[in-house]
Amino acid sequence: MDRLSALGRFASSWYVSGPMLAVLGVVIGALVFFYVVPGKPKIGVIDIPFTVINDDSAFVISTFLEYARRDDSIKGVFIRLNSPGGGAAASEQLYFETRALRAEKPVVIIMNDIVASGGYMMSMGASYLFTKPSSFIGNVGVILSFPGPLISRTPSEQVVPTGPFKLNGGGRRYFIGITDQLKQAFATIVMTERGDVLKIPRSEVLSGRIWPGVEGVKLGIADEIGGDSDAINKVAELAGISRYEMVDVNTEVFRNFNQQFKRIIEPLEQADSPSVAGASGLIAALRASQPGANPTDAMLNPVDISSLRRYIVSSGVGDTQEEVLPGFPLKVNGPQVYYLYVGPNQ
Amino acid sequence: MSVLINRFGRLGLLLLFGIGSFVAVYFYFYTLGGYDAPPPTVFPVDQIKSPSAAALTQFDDSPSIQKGILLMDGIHGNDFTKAEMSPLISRVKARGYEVEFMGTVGRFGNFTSLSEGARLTMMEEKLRRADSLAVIVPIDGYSEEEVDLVERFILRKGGKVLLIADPTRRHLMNNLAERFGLAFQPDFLYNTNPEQYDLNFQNILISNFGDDEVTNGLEQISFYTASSIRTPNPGIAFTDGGVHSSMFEQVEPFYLMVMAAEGKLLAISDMTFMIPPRNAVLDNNKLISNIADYLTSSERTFELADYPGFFRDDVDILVGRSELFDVGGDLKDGLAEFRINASVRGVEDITTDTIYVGLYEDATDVAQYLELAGLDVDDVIRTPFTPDIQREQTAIIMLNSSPDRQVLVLLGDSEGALRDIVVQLSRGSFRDGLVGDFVGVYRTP
Repeated sequence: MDRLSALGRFASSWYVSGPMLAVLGVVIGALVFFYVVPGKPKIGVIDIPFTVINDDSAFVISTFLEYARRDDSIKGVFIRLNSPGGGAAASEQLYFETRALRAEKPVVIIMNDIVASGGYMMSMGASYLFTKPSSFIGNVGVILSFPGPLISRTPSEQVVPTGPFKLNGGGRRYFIGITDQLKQAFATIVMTERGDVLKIPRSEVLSGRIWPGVEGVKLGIADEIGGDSDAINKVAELAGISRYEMVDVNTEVFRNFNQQFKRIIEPLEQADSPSVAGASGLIAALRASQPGANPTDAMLNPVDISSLRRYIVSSGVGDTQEEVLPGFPLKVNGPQVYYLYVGPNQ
Repeated sequence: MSVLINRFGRLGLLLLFGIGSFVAVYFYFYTLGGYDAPPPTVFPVDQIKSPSAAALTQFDDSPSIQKGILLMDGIHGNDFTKAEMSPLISRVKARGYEVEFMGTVGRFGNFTSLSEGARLTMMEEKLRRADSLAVIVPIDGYSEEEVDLVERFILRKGGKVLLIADPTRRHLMNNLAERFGLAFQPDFLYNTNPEQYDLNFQNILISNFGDDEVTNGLEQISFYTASSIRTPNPGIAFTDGGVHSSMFEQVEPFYLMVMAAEGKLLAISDMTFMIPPRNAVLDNNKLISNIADYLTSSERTFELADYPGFFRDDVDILVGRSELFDVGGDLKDGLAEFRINASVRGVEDITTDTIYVGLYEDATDVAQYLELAGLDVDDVIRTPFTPDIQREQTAIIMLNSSPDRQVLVLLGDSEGALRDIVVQLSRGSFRDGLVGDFVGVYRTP
């Protein structure tokens, strides 16, 4: 007892308990930083090599953006972008997703080679735009393409529409008018996002011209000339971080996807007749098993299998219209709208 | 340390080092101030204006009736369809003209190409009858010989020619246009001011016109992707300061409609303004009617070589004597091959196109026409173009052409000579014996 009480007195003496408490406090403070908040900062890197934006590529890029947004350890995002644009709705999707990411974290895009039309629309969602001197950027505008005959569908004994434009949506002039309206919408996005730094009028933006980066910076089409290092430093500056790790978002997303895909596809491959219902159930189970997921989510929320169906289901629901609408007497063939740069005349 | 313990207590000391450690690590990785997210941008839907379209207008056509033939080129792979040209074609027909297409239409409504030799033969043949010619986006260029034909058609025979090119369609119009000092530029015109275009920047509005029958009554028209036409003379429709050229990127008066060859040739650099429903925009319908008026007001003159193209109505055949009735019948059959109705009659009707068939002895019946041509048939045949010709085994053909009536006179020294000349007329070989524009003299077997 005497020894224990002597040990207690020794431990409670200031020259012993003081350093022990100090070390313990340092350890607790560091643990809170690293494992609770705010954690060791990372900069997410999203690489978009030359990509014509369509539904598929927009889906994948949106997944990258969403991953970067949801990962709390990623404090800022650096995107290498090289795209001549593509489908209108797909490009708009990427603009809105980039903008949503910017609302939470700084997004710096470096415009490589070419960032035109729909690609430029996506970059309007970023916090800051770097360009190389020889990059081609801008090309704000819309292309409307009538893939079929220009003559409206004629009345038929076999097909009974309920309105004069039920089959074709409107005449040629109507669609040309819509295109002009979409052009205005595109310009409005540019003016809303960059109106305070643009040094050219709206009409010049709308000309559809493409500029080299060196001229684009002069005109306010982009913010600064620079390379990857400059862009990463800018992300750190905007995010308020001085030391950080880099995270390859593309790799992380594909790693997660492959893991999930494997878990989905293996049971399906073992089943005799894979069905949509079976796939839905597996996806729901997969969702519920993810960290942070509420187990009831899978029960309450309908499972969206459409985004994965091309990977999962080999029968029942297909990608082509003929499979979706077997025996339907008309082939759907509407005007296509693009935000796309197609290049100069030869 | 004892001071710290005494001051903060043991728990306080723990917190002090804990917070100190957190702050130190934090500032190792972070800087003062964090990300300052911008305020969320709201897409201003209300600012997006609905497209403003030029007005569609009602138009009442009031044609005056003429007789003639508009020949439309379809042997140079011309890149248009009859349906596209229907507003113009219907108005030309409403003015009494026939519209005749050269060439055949392919499976998709387009025109096919012919070889250069076949084209030349067909054009020579068809232009003999035509009053005016329309050449629309020819994919195959005109050869020098074809250009010569068109030039002769305009300058010598008074035919009118319409040239329409369009930058949205490939064409080699300049092979032909350059002969008349015109060049369709490989550009397109545009206006980026939404108040000054119809739905799209390439659909320019034009309200500057020169004084001409084709622009008569026009206030504003809309062209749908037009090119500029380079011309030494001012055009009859031109742009103002708001319109740019894709090639020149400068503002100047660009010409879209040009009159050349002393008003006998009209060049237009847009085709699509005629295609429904764009023909109904602004004064486009009025312009189409004016073009139809222009094409049907040709003052075409005919020569004997144009036989039988100068006959526009039914033809009376007069025979000088009853023995020649069969010759008249042969002549009638020959005309029927050209879809010309003819009737053998005994009395001249001075309001009807007439062919007179007679022997030299009957020349007094047509003396007035012979005199006008400077011909004298006596013991010998005297013409202004040749030495005196002995009558034996000869025949002559003479055309008296006026805007109202055509009179063709066939005289020979025998029924056989006349039969031979009728055969030559049917075959076209009579042209080898022409001694002037209106007279031919033939040695017969």
